[in-house]
Amino acid sequence: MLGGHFSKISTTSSFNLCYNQVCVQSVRYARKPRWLPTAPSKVFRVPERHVLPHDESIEWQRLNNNYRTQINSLRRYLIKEVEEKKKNREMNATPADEEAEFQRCLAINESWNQDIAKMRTLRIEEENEKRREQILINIENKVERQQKQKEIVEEKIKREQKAAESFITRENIDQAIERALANPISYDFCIDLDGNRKGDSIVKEESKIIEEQQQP
Amino acid sequence: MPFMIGRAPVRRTLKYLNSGRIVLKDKIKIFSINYNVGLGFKNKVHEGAQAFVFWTLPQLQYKNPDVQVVTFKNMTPTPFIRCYYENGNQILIDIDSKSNDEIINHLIKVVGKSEKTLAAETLAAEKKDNPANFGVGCSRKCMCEIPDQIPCPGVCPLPKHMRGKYILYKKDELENAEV
Repeated sequence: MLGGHFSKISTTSSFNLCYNQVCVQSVRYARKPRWLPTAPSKVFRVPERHVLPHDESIEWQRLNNNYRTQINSLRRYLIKEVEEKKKNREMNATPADEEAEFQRCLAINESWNQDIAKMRTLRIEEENEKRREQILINIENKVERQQKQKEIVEEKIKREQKAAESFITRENIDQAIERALANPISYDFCIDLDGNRKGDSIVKEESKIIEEQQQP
Repeated sequence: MPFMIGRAPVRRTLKYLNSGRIVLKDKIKIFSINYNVGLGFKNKVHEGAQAFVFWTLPQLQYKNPDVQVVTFKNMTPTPFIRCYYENGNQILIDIDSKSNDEIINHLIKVVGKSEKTLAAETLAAEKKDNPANFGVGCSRKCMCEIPDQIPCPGVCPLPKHMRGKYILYKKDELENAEV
């Protein structure tokens, strides 16, 4: 009990420099002690006020602002760190524990990721297989479609070739003109709703009427 | 009720937000999720991630106000979550074709605080929050800071009827002692 008491005192004295007699230094005043009032010769002295140049005051302001910001952030950081350490101590968590915990979580996650990766590979393979089949079907369809198209075109060409025999060319244009003059065809006639032709060409009718009028 | 408009406004109710189960570890500073929307048949693997973003992300944000939550849309073939730790570590969680519930349970297991820790923290918070408590770490150091309570004996002596000196000794004994 007594020993504990003594040890307490000794630790305090060794850590707290204020209690150590060796460290105590009395203040010696060279001129006026603190407790004396202003000297009579200085009572009405008005100290001259220092006026900083504008630029310099701005610069001082900037430097001070920077300093305050930096010190504040540093202070906050340190406070936060200390608080965190305290909290960790309360929870009995050391950095090693935290690292171990992280590794444990990482391992769990790794196995989960691997499971998903396996499933995904399977799924992608399946999808690829389906896609391959679909592409094959598409190709087949395309070939078929092209074949059909080709047939249609060939038939058209045949038809055109056949029709080309009756085309009017430079050689037979005179004959064609003669034939056309010999057999005039007029398409201006009436039709009923079913498309049946009704009567003669209008021009013919009109020419007939005109002829009749001119004869008498 | 005002503001109860839009899709599933229940997501904005306090009760819903409070009932979130994911409380991330303190070391996690950023929570990012990549997923796709609106790409038709390829979206099946993203359905869980979409549901997670739609239903659970508000709760997660509410429960973890100090964590930055980022969502990236239509920038990935498969959905995944990436958490960034304070010390630069990262953890990548694949959530390809997983449902919302599966994702939540896995997140709680991997990046969430354990139930034990949560219980301890609630206890600590209660201690700090309760205005009736006093002492170190509380809002007031001593009961005597409240008006109408007895001041600390070190500041101002206790009333005589509370002091052993006056109630444990007999009157004449006291007089002798003082002499």
